[in-house]
Amino acid sequence: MFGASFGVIFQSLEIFRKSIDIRNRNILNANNPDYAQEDPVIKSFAPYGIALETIERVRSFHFVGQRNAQLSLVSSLDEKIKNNSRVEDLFQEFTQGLGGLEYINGFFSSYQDLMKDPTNEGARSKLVNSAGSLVSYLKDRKRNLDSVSNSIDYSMRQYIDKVNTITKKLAKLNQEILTLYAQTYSRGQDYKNILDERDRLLRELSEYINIRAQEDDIGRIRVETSKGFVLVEDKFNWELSYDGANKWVFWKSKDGTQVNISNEISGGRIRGLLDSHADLQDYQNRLDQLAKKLISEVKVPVRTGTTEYYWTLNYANPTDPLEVSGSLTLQGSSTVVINYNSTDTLTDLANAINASGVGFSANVITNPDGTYTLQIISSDPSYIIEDSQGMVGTRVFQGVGIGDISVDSNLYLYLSNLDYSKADEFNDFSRSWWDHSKDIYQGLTNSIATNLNEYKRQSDIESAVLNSIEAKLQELQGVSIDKEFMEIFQLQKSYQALAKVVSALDELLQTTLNMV
Amino acid sequence: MKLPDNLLFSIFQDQDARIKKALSEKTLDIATGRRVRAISEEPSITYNVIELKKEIAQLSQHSQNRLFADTNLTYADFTLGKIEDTIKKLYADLLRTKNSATVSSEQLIAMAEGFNQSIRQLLDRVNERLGQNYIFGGNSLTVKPFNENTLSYEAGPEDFEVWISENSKVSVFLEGGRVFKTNLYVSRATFNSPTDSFSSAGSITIQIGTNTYTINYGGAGEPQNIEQLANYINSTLGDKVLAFVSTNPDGTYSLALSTKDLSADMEFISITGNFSTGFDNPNILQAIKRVRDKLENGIYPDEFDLFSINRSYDIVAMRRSEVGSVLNVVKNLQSTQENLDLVLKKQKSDLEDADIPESIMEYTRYRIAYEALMRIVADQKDLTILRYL
Repeated sequence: MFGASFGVIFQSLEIFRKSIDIRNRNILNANNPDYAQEDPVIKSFAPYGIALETIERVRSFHFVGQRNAQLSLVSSLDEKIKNNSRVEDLFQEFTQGLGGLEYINGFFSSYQDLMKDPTNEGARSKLVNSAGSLVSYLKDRKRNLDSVSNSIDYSMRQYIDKVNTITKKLAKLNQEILTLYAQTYSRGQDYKNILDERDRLLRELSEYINIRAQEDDIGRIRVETSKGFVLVEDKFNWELSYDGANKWVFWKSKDGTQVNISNEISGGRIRGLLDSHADLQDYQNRLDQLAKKLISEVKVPVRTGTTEYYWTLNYANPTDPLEVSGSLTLQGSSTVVINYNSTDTLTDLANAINASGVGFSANVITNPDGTYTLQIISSDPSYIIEDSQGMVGTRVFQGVGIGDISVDSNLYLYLSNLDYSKADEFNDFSRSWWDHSKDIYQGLTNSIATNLNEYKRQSDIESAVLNSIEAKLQELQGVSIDKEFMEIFQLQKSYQALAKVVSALDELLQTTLNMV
Repeated sequence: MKLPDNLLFSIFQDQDARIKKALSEKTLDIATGRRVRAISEEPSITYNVIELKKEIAQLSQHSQNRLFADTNLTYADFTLGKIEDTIKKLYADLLRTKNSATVSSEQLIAMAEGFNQSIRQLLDRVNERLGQNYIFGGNSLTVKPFNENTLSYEAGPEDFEVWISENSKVSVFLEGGRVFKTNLYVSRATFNSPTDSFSSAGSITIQIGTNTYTINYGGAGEPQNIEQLANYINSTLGDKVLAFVSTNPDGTYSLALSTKDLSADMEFISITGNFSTGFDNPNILQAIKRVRDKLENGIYPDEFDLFSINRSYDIVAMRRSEVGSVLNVVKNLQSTQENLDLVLKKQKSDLEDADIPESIMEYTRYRIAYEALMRIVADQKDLTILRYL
């Protein structure tokens, strides 16, 4: 008589209990940012009862994608800020006595001090020491930048490993989703809490590399980089690898070939590291440029005591006019005076020296900074070379760049053979060398300062956008505890009402039995 | 979480981060006294500070150079003053002797010894060193300027100059050959008597400034001996050139010339006839030595001797005034450079140093804002149904 009613009540009680469980789960995860609120969808089959049709997951894949893209951008900026800040720490221009410019200024002050008082032994020692300090400073910064570069490589490998681990987990989740979907198909498809884990992994992945994700009907996803290189599809994942020597990121296809996708990655920490590498390369180039400038331009007025002399001025082309007139006196096996005028070229002068036949030879050479000058070789260090315009001297620094720059080991000896009569000319030249060096250093600090400042500014803006999207996402899929409690009250009342029906039926049944 | 909790939380997060950042910046401003501490905080300030640092360093170097010039030129001025005093005394002695009617040859020889002492003193002075550098050695710096035997100048051919500002340099070690050069000229051709006739007629072409003058001698209607030639030059070119007949230490006679103007110089363009062997141009030491040699030989000083000592004195005085005027420029530059240094340092300080009172005001303002934010959050967070369950 009451069998059908008991069946309907039993089923309904079971559905209400499950619904309360889901509400409880919502409340428990109210503070979990990756949790999407779930709503049980109860369908009525009046007068035959109710059924739990499905469990709806309140979420927007569009917003999740947008949040992840923004997260990639912010993470990329964060990485650039982190690495550029480490570089910035190396250039303390606002701490008196610690800035790189102090070394440059110190060296050029010593140089000018000596040119002002060239017989002063103290000034000579000071120049040698300050040249050494400047070289040490440049090399220390080079080492520091190399160390930042190595640390970027280390981070890059870690991030690539992370990406590979996450994509592997996502591929495994795709499999699990399919299995759970099949298992819970007839019982409300209550497997969707596993999608929270999937979304968490997607968010984590987006932090490292910007991705595009597509979802199928049951929640499996296909993940690819923003430029279309697949990372996850079905139960498969594709791995990335890193070539530290060339700073390239490779995508490994299933047939074993590797594709350089460094330029195809447009966001995430990996993009940030790639950009940091490019920034670092720029800083290292500028430091190298400074070293090359010093090697190419800084000379002291020496007329004897060495076998290697250089023309004081540098030219963009070997055929450029000298733009100075004067006479070069070579006192070798005999004495020769070579007159030159402003329209002559380095090559003309080299030819004249080579033709003099008094123990000197000359070559037009390329300086480390790419300019051209004249190298004059004396076959005997006791030979004397003098120029009326102070156009002959010897280099203070040796090497070809930041890697091997050093102070000429014979510098102190050269300084004891200074041509005092040309000191004021060299003092005059040094002002342009000082300017050039300062300009390059200023370019370096300017580049670091503006890059970092710009990254921080962008990060402030983009982080605000990310927060706004996060807030929107929370509004959309987050749990409202107030609403959940209201829903529970409602379910509780329904459950209580239904339970009362059971006791009413029981009473009715009892009464009926007593009548027998 | 959902609205309104979420909205409130977002606003709180944003404001909290912003105010905390501002508070932290102001705290650092006050603690370090600097408005910018890292180069990325204000790239434009970084650029300007680096520019100013270099300018300050260059100015400091110019100040050191100026001080160096000041020290050396002061010493050169002092030395020239001492030389001036010595020559002045020689001139007084010589004038007294010249005006005295009765001076024996023994007295002249004794006087020569006084001249000798003075020459040695002068030689010490002109070969004076400051540190390793000879102050009258020009740009050779370490080469002794005047030969102790010949008294001729042997050091650098140009002044040693030092940059004391962006666009100007001053001579610090003077080229002694120019400093002690006279505009006295004594003919190498000698005559036994001022009235000995020229054996070969000719001409002397000289240039003073941009003007050229030719003096013919020995021909018809022209001066026939050095006495007549001297008189002729004085009468025709007296406003430009002074001519003397001067006794040489060996008792012979020479024609001596000098420009009338102290600062003018004379150049011999061409010389023919008796004077074709040219003219000696003694420096101050050599001019004094010529007088000493005459005195030593018991020869009475003549008009040219007195003139040459007097001219030597005037030249040293003129050089001293030149050094003085450069020194004046150098000293005047001191205040300019010090002021510029202050201006540059102030500019740098304005850029990188914090305005402490302003920073404290800002710090207080942000603290109040932070407390207000906290109060709002505290008031709002309890608006929930849970309170009524």
